[in-house]
Amino acid sequence: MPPVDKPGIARQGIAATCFILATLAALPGLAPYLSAFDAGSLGSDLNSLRRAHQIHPRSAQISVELALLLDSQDQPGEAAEILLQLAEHNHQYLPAWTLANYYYRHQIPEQFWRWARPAAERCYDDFRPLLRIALNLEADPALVAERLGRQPPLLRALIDVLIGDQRLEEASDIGQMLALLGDPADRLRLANLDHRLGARPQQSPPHH
Amino acid sequence: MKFSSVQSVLAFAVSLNLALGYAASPGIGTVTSPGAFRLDRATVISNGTLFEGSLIETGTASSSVQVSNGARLSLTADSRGRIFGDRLVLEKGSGTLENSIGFKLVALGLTIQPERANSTGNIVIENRNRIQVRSSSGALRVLNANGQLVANLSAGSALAFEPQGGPSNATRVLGCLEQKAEHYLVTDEVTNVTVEVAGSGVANEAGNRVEITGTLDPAATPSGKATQLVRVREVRRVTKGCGSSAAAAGGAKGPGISGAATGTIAIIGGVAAAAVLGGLAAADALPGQATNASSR
Repeated sequence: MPPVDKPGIARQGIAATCFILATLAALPGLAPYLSAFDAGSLGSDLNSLRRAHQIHPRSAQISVELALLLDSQDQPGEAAEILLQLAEHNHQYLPAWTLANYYYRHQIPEQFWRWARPAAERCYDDFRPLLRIALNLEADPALVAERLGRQPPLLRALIDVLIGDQRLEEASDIGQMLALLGDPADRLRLANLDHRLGARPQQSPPHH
Repeated sequence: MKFSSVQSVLAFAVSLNLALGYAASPGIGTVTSPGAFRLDRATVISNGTLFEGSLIETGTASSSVQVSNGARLSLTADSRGRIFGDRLVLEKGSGTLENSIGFKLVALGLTIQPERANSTGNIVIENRNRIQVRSSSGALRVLNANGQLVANLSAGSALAFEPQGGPSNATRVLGCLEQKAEHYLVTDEVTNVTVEVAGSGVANEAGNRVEITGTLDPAATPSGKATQLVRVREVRRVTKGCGSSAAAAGGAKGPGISGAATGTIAIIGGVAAAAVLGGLAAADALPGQATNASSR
């Protein structure tokens, strides 16, 4: 039977006790965050959100909720700082999308486009919300497509938005952009667009 | 032309384009959610910018709305509402006012208006005919589609409302008939709305607890604390004297409805109202309740 490492066991015991004590010490601060989180939202309590952010500085949802609350309470500088910190280590869609919206609301178009582009590149679901605010800023859909990157899913969504807004001529222009990318899967969409334009001849996608 | 000049012209053109391009509305607020939701029929993750008339549809998570004027409200899961700078028009589900500076909730044509900036409350669309309004803190006023006051809810009280299909001025109130000089006033026990009543048979019942049926006269100026004048069609004495109604009076005042007001249905300005006990209207079916079919 191997000898018992009594000092080692004692060290592990001390470490475990320290961990439990540290966790218990953090509980009072965690409580408001946990209760708000259980309710489905982190709520409007700035102190709880600040505490939650201290505990989880890399949580995207907490950072976003805190930044938007600060922004609504006339603290836009700190709000932007939190969102930019989030974007530094989180290169997914949410920080870029939130920053694009932030700069849109604060009417700083250069920064809007700076963050709208990565938001478009990282968008994994619906492009339309981003396209709607982009089209509010820039009336020319071709320029919007250019600034956000001409990726096929974005162009398809842009066509849908333009058709929804009855901007058929501009939808046709974006359709031509899409046709040049040559995805056969877009033929039906482009044919429908042609049909809407009154069967006007359109450029066909290249054959493969 | 030198290259640097071309660059300058391009830079100027770009900045001009950006400056001119930014004539767009910066929006009226933000919406956040722990999950995905729909904004103007598109799927949004986590948060988005709201514009005048934006349609918000929550999914499995609730959403919080922050309006630029300082108002804050939330929509529970599976709700739908259209947001404007001064109001939320709730179409489905439930909405809660958390900070109500200059903000109103609208549902089924009724307007729920906080009396003070810190008034908070909740409205639930129960079905296509009925809503439930609960005041959490501060007072809430409920107005019909014509802007007539149909209920005053104080903190902790709750009422169910059903706009009636008939004439929008139809009124039925229950309470103590008080005489003030040449005028007769009734504070309805359910809605806590004081009306002046005028017509034959009214003077004989002063000091009694009565049920009055009639129509609101929107052109008349009511007396004293009354907010509207009712032309009486029928006066029915419920009890002689008003003593027994004291416990029940002010139906929309307390945290619950007690005594004779329980189960009582008031109709003011074409809107039926009944007390809410434990989430159910004290009166099972309000007049005009055609169906319980969901609006969803």
